[in-house]
Amino acid sequence: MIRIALTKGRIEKKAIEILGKAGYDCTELDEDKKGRKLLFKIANADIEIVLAKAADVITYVEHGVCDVGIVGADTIMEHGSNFYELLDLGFGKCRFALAGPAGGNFYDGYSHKIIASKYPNVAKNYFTSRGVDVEIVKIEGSVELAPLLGLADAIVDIVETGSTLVANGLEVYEDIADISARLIVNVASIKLKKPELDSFIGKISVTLAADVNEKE
Amino acid sequence: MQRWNKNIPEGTRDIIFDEAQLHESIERSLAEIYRKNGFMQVMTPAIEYYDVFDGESRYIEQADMYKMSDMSGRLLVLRADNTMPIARMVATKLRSASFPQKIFYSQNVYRANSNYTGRRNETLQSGVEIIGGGLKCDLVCITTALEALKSMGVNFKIEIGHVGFFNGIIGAMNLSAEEEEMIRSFVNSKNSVSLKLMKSTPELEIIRRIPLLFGGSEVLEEAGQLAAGNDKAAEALAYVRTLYDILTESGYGDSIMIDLGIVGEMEYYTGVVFRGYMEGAGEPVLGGGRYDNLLKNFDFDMPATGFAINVSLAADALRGTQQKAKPADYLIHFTPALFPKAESFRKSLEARGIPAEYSCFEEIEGTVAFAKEAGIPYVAEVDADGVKITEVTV
Repeated sequence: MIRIALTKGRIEKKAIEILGKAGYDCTELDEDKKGRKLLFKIANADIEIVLAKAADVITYVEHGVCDVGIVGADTIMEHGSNFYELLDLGFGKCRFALAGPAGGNFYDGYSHKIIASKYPNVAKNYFTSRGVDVEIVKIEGSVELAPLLGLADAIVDIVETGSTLVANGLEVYEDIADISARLIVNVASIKLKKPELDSFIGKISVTLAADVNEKE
Repeated sequence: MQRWNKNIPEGTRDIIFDEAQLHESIERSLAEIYRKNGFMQVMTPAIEYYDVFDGESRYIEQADMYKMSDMSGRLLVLRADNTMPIARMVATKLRSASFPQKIFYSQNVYRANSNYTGRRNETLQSGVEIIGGGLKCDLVCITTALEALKSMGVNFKIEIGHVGFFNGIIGAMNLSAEEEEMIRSFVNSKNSVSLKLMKSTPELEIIRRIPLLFGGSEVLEEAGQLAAGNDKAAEALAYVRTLYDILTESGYGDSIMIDLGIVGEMEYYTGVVFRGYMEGAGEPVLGGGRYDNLLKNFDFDMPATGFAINVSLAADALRGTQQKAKPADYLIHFTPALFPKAESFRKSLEARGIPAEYSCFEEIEGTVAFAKEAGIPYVAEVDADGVKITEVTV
């Protein structure tokens, strides 16, 4: 048996679509059938699906209670670290960026810069890797507010179209990293359940490749 | 001010009754296996000077070690690894011993992990080191590891890799230390996605295959093609093939795998590396390999190989599967004045091989209730007239 953790919400829908195309019967997970359940069975394979919040997908896979996880690269960058990242699933594309008031230059002046972010580890790693000292403030909701209210000089956040930034008079200063959904695997499962996982990952890879060909 | 007198530090545990027994029984059965194979036990201090763990190359992150200072202000570390203190010990105390020397240990290591990850900061490690020697010692080491994991009684696998394979290939690429470190971490986490995003070169094409080089002997064929023309990688591969073939021929084929994507968690490894997995554990329970340069840090040039088993993790994986300890047959109730009588009764039982224990309860009711709870079938009440035996019905 393999157990797969899916990130609830947008990633879940797209992932189920791919699982379906790869020949896995996901009827238990249909919107009108699933109700409030969190644990599901694939009807035609020895696979269980768990729905979880993004960061929890990583926790479950790290501890080996789930063998496979499907989660965004944003969550992986923020929460890392001890698992194998095998596939880029190609959906849920966006990017991490440093953004601030339009027309401004982040590196101007000598004052100690303050960065607001929902992703303090991503922000910290980005600036430490470039040898820049900044103060990071964790914000839980709309980060765009922080520079508008004068709490921060800039923000590190996920940017999809950039329209929220524009609507609030902000712009992207620098791109930090590209993001998309990833398939991760527990380090022990990949060895102890090699035949099952090889077959599963093989089917997903073939489906993804066929998807890309179709689009082209 | 918050008082911390009712809590234990992050990542530590109180281990109580059944679980303590499980830890102890794993520890003991591993020690028996090591002894049977000719390994001799050593114990090193729980505190060491910081410098022991901070050689020319630093193998453990400074932030991961618990540090304190001694009375003279020198920096001390709570044992952060077993191999380094043992290397220090061998290099200073056993210089005149005959080598190869087979050593085993069973003691705690302390590493500070980040909070809320569910990882232990205090783990019991049981392992062996063979100081001196070469291929023969790796064979003895791996077969001892196989026997050790098999004794846990669940499905297990040991995989073999070699740091020289990856190092040979990446060494030919002439990269900066930073680039090399980045690729190493991608390969180590089988991060195919990030490797795919890097600019393609013929060498990188080879690197991209490495994370997938795990499995059975078919891996050796493919790796052979990738290593063509790279002496260092080919030599490493030949070593793995030799080990794999000999172990297969010795009947271990079902328990061993190859993973050439292990590129060095502990950077002191210089040659063959191995990891062990067991059912129920989400991380490797066994790690080891050849470390031919570590003893040089302590001015003793001697090759070595070894492995460590994370007993804490193994115990977690086996929790609930173990047999409950068999309770005694008799619970002896007595008053202090009649203790000599109780003692002679207990000795007579002991002589007949019947397990018995004393009750520490004041009243007979307490004794009977405890016997029921513990599953002890008979209560023996010692009074002036003799010993009255009552069967306890649950």
